[in-house]
This record gives sequence, structure tokens and C-alpha cells, in this order.
Amino acid sequence: MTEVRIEAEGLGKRHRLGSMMTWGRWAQMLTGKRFERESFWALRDVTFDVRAGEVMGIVGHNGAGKSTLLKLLSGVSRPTEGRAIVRGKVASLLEVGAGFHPELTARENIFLAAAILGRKAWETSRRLDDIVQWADAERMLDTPAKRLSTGMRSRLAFSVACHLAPEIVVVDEVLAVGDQAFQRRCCQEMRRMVDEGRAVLFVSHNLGIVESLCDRAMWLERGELVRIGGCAEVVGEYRAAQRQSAAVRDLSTAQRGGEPGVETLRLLRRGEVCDADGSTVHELPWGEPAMVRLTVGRDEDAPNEPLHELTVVVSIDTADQQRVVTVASPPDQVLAVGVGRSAIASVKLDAMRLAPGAYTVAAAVYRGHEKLDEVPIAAEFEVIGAGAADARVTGMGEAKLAIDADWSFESQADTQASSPAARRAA
Amino acid sequence: MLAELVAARHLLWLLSWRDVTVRYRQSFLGTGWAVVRPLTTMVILTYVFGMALGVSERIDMPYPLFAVTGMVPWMFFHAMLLGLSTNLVRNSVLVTKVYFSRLALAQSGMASPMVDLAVSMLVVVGVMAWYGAGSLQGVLIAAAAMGTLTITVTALGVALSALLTWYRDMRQALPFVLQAWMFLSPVLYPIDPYGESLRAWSVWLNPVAGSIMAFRSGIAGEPVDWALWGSATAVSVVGLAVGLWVFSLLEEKMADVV
Repeated sequence: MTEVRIEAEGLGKRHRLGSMMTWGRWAQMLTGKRFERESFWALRDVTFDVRAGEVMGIVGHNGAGKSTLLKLLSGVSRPTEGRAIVRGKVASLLEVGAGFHPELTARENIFLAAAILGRKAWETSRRLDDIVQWADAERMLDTPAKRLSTGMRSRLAFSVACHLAPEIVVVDEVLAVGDQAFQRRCCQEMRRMVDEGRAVLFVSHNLGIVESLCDRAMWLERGELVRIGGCAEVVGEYRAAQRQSAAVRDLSTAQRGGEPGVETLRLLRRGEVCDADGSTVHELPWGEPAMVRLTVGRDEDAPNEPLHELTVVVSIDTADQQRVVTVASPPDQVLAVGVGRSAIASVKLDAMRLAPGAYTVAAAVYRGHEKLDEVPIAAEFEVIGAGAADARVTGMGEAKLAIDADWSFESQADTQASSPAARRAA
Repeated sequence: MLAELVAARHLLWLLSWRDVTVRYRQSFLGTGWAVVRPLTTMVILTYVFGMALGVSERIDMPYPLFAVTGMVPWMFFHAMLLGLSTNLVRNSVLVTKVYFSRLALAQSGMASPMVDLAVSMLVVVGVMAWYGAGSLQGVLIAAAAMGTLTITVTALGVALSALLTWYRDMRQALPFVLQAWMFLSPVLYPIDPYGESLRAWSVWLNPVAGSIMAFRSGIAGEPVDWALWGSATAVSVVGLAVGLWVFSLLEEKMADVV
């Protein structure tokens, strides 16, 4: 029986809503008005344990309480109810870089970050070579952090954390930054860390990484623990639930893109991804046709400015916000929307050539070159592959997009014949 | 909380060192600023207060010496209070993401004013030697007076640093409170602690005044008013206990509100 590192019992955290007490509110209270602030439970009645040498994955939607849970465990904030017994020091992997000071050199920052992890200078010196080597930063050691690339900074932060990690490590979406090669190296490094007997809590939206890295997993939904158990089962159930909840997205209140503070017309109303039959889906099989459907509308009280000759632009982004493809409606097919009316813009994407994984759809409406509205996340979907059985998918490796390719193989008599000169001579 | 601070002394040292090095990086004069600032203020003050307003007739030491022994401790107090009280908010990323002794983080803001004070002491000792006043013993008394002032500023700053994470108003209030405080302290002109007025009384409750007067007496080689200094120390020590208590009350929810 290995050592239990974290024991959480009925853990709960209540957050207050709204702003803090102000002078006006004090005055109100003096006049006898009762003033109650609304509150909500960010986390409630969560019980689990994590052992040494184990990776516990945490999945759930945004706002499910994942980050709150990590904050309670690392001691940054205190639980409202319940308790968490933590045996050993906790370090947060992502946030080590938070202490990086732009004016200090890489070397100085390494020592500072290590001190925040609770390491003494001599402990850091002993591992300095490994840290620097892993991050590939030998030549950058005496460069101020402000002149390092973002990638280099995150590599350094991760390296410090991995090499000097204490008994318990919490990882919150750390792999969202960096390319896939970096992600793979991070995963290897974390595996090594766990094999040395550390306990790791791993939060990620990338279910693939959770599946490959974690031993057990828990699924949080609106602050409650839905399921805890073996990683494959929990992630499988979570996936199934996600598939069912595929719905049309209401965009009227969605976050807008473009310059902050500039009001857009809020033309985009609804967004969804459909399969070949036209029904709304969350998961799309690899290589099957798909459709993005957007509802564009104008309010009754909108200024009576004619809006025709509109161009609709749809883009697909990966989960780590890399744009894969953009399609715009052609000039000979324009959209018009009258006041108090709406229209549906659909674009059929012939065959999903995207590699399996999670994607988001961004949508924008233009009039000429003027951007009238933009929604960075108008719909979400996941491409599911046929698995290892489909050679085309496995062959894609890190590529995100497949294109039509015709291969031909010709066998020839000898190697000499393959050179153009030899062929001419023949 | 205090045990935590002791455990984090290594971190406190590193964070302090970070503040000090960062402050003078990419700066041409570097620590030279700690010499230039008190010297120029001394010259300006000597002109305005010493000559134009005639303060020099009310004191029994050269006005430049009076001014520099008032301004150097005051600038130290001012910089310490600002550094200490705003450090948690300035590093709110660390407060909300990582757990470690927050008292250590707040206190690391005290380091660079201390370095500045040490450099500024060169100016003080220089002016002292110029007028042939004071002695080595006097310099030691002055240093001890700065010890009292450090306790005063820690008491206030620790409480303020925690309050600032809750209410940012403090940042609005602080500059003008400090300004009023300076005029209530014997920085630019003398205040007689044995006079009849209300201001004489305020000097006894104002630990900054006691420290500055002890500092000045030490440097000028005048007899030290031990009673006044003692009262300043007592007020500061009680204040420190209160400050730490306030900090411990607010620390718990700091990460949720900052």
C-alpha cells in the first residue's frame, strides 16, 4: 500500500458574488436596509484521495470547479467547509513562471522560481545543469527574461518545476502552451516525476493527454464530483456525456472578437455544427462531410440601415488556438438581412480532413472590408478517428490537416536507371 | 504565521535581493540616486525653509544639517511604507497562484529602501563632518533610531498591505496621509515636544517624530531625549503586534479577494 498524499473530505468552497462592501452599501445598512450578497458554491462535497506515484486527472467544463479545487489543495485559498489533509509540499507547475521577473536573467529567475517552490540555493545549484539542459537554454542563461521567447520561458518554468518538484504537483492546463513536441516532452518528464514517487493532479481539456498520462480521473460538474475512478472509464463517460449535450450555441451573449470596447452589431445569433443528415452534433467522424450553420439576425429596433452584400467568414481553430482553415463566402453569393429578420448561413465542408481532436469554429460577418461582427467561438466539435485501424489517420502524426493525395509507385530495373541522365542515355 | 516567516527566510532574502537588483538595472546612476536625492532636497529645503521662511533662526544647528537629518529618515519611512504596503498587490499573481509565506512577500518590499538608507547615510555623515558635529557614537545612536523607525513602518505597512488586497482605496489615501504626516513631524522645522500646543502632544504619539528627533540628536551631537525615543519605541512595538494581528485576520481570504 503506497502512501496517501492527499485526503479530501467533503471539500467545499463558497464564493460571494458581486463587488465588495463600499461606502454606499455601508450607508444603506446604516439606514436599516438589510444587504445580502449572493453566493454560490464553486465546489461542494468533494471527497477523494491521491496516492504517491499516481496521476489523478481532473476533467470537466469551464467553471466546473477544477481550478478552485487545485487552489484549495495548494493552500492558496481556504475551504469553506470540509477539509483536505495534504502530506507534503504542493507545487503548482504552471505558475512557477508567474514569478519570473522580466529584468532578471534566466539564471536568476531559475533560483527565484526554485525558492518559491521551497528549494534552497544549493539544491538548485546541484540540479542547474539538468534544468538548463532540458530547457535547451545553455546559451540564454545570462539573458534577461524579457528577451527570451515565450516558448523558452515556459520551457524554463516547466523544467525548474519538474526537476525540483516537491512531493505533490498540481498541473493546470500547462500543456496548452507550446507545440506538440514540447507537450510530448512534458508528458515524458511528468511520467518520470511520478515514477519517482510523486503524486500529480492533472487538469486538462485535452482528453487525449489525460487518457495517456493519468492513472485515475475525476469528473467535476458545477462544483460537484460526478464520477471518480479508473481513467479510461471516467474519461469515456465524460466523452459520452459531452456527445449528448451537443447543442446549438446561443451567440447573442457570446464573447465578441475585435477591438475591446468597440461595440459590434451582434448579428451572429446561433452557431452549430451538423453532420451529413443536418442534425446538430458534437462529434464528427474523420473523413465525413460536415456543415457549419449560423443564424444571422437583426433586432426590431435596429437602425434601418440596409445590410445586404454581407460576406460570412468561418474559421476552424484547434484547441490550442491555432487556425487550421478559413473559408469565406464567395462574392457572387451574398447575404442580406432586413431589420427584425434573420437568415441562416450554412457552409458545407465536403469531407472533414481534420485530424482527430477538439476544434472550435470562429465566425465573422463583413460588409466589404468592414467587420460587422465576430465571435471567436461560435461552435465546438470534436473529430473522432477510426482509431489505429485507419492507417491514414495514424499516418498524419502531428499534422492537423489532410489533403487529397494521389500516390504512385513504379518499380524500376536498377538504381542507375532512376537518375535522369541514365534514363536519357537509355 | 511568524513560524512560516522564519521558514521562508531564504525566500525573503531572494525576493528582497530581486527587488534591489531589479531597481537599479538599466539605470545609469544606480545607487547614486540615493546620494543625489537627499543632497538636492537639502539644497532646496535650505533655500526655502532655512533662508526664505527663516526657520534657521529657531534652531541651534546649521539648517542644512537639520534638513538632511529630517529628510533622510523621512524618505526612508516614506519609501518603506509604500514598498511594504503595495508589495502584495503588485505581486497578486503570486498570491493567487502559489502558496508561500505572504508575510515574506510583503516584507521583501522593505529591502530597497534599506539599501537606499545605507547609501544616503554617506550624505548624512558627510554633512555631519562638514559642520564638524557628531561622533561615531552619535552615528550609532542614529542607526538605532532607524531601528525604531523600521519597527514603526513594519507595524503600519504589514496591516496596510493586507488591507490593500481588500480595498484599493488605501492607495488613493496613502500619498495625502503621508503628506499630512510629514507636516506633523519635525522634518522641515522643529516641533517642541514640551510646548503648550496640541502639536506638542501629537509628537508623543507619533513614533516617526521620536525616531527623527533621536536620529537628529545623534548626528548633531546633541543630548538625546530618551523619554521621547522610548515612547516612540513603545508605540511602535504595540503597533507591530496590532499590525501582525490584522494581517493574520485578513490573510486567510487574501487570495479570494485580491
